[in-house]
Amino acid sequence: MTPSLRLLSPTTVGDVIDEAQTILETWGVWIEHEQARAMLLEKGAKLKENRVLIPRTLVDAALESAPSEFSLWDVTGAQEYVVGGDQFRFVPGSAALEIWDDQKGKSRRAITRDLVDLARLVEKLEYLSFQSTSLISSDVPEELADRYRLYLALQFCRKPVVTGTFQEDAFPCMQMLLEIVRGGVRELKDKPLAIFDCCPSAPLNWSRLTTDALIRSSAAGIPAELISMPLAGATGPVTLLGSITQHCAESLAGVVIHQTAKSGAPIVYGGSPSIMDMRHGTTPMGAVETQMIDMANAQIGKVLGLPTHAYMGLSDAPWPDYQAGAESTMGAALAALSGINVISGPGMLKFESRQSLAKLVLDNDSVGTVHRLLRGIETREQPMALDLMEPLLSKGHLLNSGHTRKWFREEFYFPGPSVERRTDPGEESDARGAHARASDRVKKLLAEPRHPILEPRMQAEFRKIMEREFSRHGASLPPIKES
Amino acid sequence: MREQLANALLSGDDIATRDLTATLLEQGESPVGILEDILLPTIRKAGDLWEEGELFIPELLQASAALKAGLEVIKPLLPASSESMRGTIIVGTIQGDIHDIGKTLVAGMLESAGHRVVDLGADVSPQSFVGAAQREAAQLICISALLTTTMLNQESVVTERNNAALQGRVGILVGGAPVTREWADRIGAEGYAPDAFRAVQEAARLLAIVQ
Ligand code: B12
Repeated sequence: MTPSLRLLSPTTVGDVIDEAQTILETWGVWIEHEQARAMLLEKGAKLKENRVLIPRTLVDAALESAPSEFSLWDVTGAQEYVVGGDQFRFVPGSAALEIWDDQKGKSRRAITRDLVDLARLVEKLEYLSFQSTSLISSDVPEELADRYRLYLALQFCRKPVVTGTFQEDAFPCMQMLLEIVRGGVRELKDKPLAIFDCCPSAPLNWSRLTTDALIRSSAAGIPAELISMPLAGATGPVTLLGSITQHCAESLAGVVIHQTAKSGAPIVYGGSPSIMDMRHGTTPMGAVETQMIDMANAQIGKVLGLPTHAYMGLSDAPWPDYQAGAESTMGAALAALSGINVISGPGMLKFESRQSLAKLVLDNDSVGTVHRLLRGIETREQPMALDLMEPLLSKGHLLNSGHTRKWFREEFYFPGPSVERRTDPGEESDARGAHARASDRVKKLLAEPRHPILEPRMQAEFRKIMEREFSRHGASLPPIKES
Repeated sequence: MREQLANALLSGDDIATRDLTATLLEQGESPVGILEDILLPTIRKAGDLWEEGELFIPELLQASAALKAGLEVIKPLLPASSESMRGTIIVGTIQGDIHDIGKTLVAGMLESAGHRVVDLGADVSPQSFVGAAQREAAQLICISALLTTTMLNQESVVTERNNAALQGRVGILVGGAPVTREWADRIGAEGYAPDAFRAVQEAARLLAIVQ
């Protein structure tokens, strides 16, 4: 039996979906993108004072055509990852403005080398299934930061990538990079390599940028991921259920736009909602209420028959301390128990604005623990203990028995540097703690030899594309530096 | 009655604040007296209570809304020369950016510190910022940016302000998640603050310079 946890009753889920549809019928959404607006009006939506009212029939049709699962393939095209059902996959939290310098103990803006290091590290962290374009490089023009992240990610990590645009003109370039890796337009459609995040703007707005990304990804066969984020108490109702309902309405509007553009294209029901901290005016992603909203949203997504996503397993602490471990580990466990398919969070700190390599290592460990938890308690042998009583009672232990040797590796998880289990780890290790142990691990992993991921031909094409982008902005593409 | 007005303001009751202000005027209280002895000290007290963790943001913002309601009644009666309010401040989120919560909090905190705040909303062009500063005779422009891409447009507001020969008369204060003190220095903005609370202190510092 796979352990699972649900916070809403089936009746409440039904009520939320019903009310969200009523919101779409009566208040509708504001859509900045003319083409998308026209497309919906043609399908029966109505325009009322600039807002597009979406009838239930359109929502139902969109839900009918959207697939309940899809697959991603890694850069080599060899490994397939199904996104759907109760399969959960962890991804580093995306688009941090700064990096926590684990050696110096302070934060700074990220540069090319950090993006490369992060991608190389994620390549090696076994419990992170996907990579993401997690950092923004401050040594390239801001206008090119979105595509530059993908350019580096694909060269240094084989895993499928969760990404997104900051500017409309980035999409074609990013699509081209993906197609080069696959070897063509058709090939990318057959074996998607990336997920594109598209964020509606709470309350109930779809900006041109995100609508454009939604439509373009549907056409390119790139799975889209809805990142609706009402802030409970600010851009959404303060009641958790109220915010969950608004999230549902915003997301359903996204599904309708996406499926109307291309019926059957893969789309994920996700989000990065948060409560508003009423004392400090911040958006705590690690707050227990935020996590409850995320869990409920995913439960609704599942009932709607869509793959799900959430920003969980992250923390608002400024650096990888006690708060960071507690919020991230609890979030990771709750997300997996909720059967959320894509879980963005590892490495992330400070309200989604900071990444740390040591924290990625620590979170990888937590996720390992969560994998163990989710395997549940399995029936290995029948009878379960009876036949072991004879050797156990005669020797007094089973330490080196065949039974123990057969099963201990499967029954127990062996945590990495985040967990200290030695009785006497030595004074130095006692004092340094998990963060220092994780920093050592980062150094060790990055010192390992690296083999190029892309063929030289692809790399040359990558450079050509980026050089063109950079020269259009009067800048030159920086050389790639690794640690 | 004076105490009732202070309580109405502190509890964010905008209708009572408006009505009690009107009643006090009818009873012969002077507009300047109501402003300086009741409204402004009370809103500052609200700010202090928030700082101490007694009041929360929703309550503080509602107290600012109540202050506005009271001001609407006395504003027309204030002599033009007695500009008792601390300063006039233009607030907005920069062009291309729709993140407006941080900006709204900054506006609310500035209001609760007793300033007159003109909130231009989000996605505001550099021309609109400077145009509004001229129209409202403001001493300060506060610009929020939450994206590394839109933050660049903050510099255009500085340029626009300088082109309008307002340097030294209208200060510029920048903020938002990707914005730093170094960035403010680089683009020639006079002020920077990391959060709404420190935005109020920084605004006070700048207002003292530009007067
Ligand atoms: C909520 C949110 C949204 C909401 C905004 C809703 C709204 N009505 O405001 C929505 C969903 C619309 C959104 C959209 C997008 N977002 Co957004 N969003 C956030 C999030 C999670 C929180 C922002 C927030 O409201 N914080 C709470 C407020 C109170 O804090 P604050 O704004 O920082 O303000 C405080 C201080 O900065 C300061 N301050 C703010 N302004 C000012 C001004 C002055 C003068 C002063 C002195 C001080 C000051 O005081 C405030 C109060 O203390 C941030 C993460 C983050 N940590 O910032 C991402 C984030 C800013 N978003 C991000 C991105 C990428 C986007 C999108 C581009 C995504 C997409 N592909 O569609 C779009 C952009 C749309 C656009 N054109 O603007 C990235 C930015 C990356 C980058 N390149 O810079 C972030 C960092 C998240 C991430 N890690 O990916 N987003």
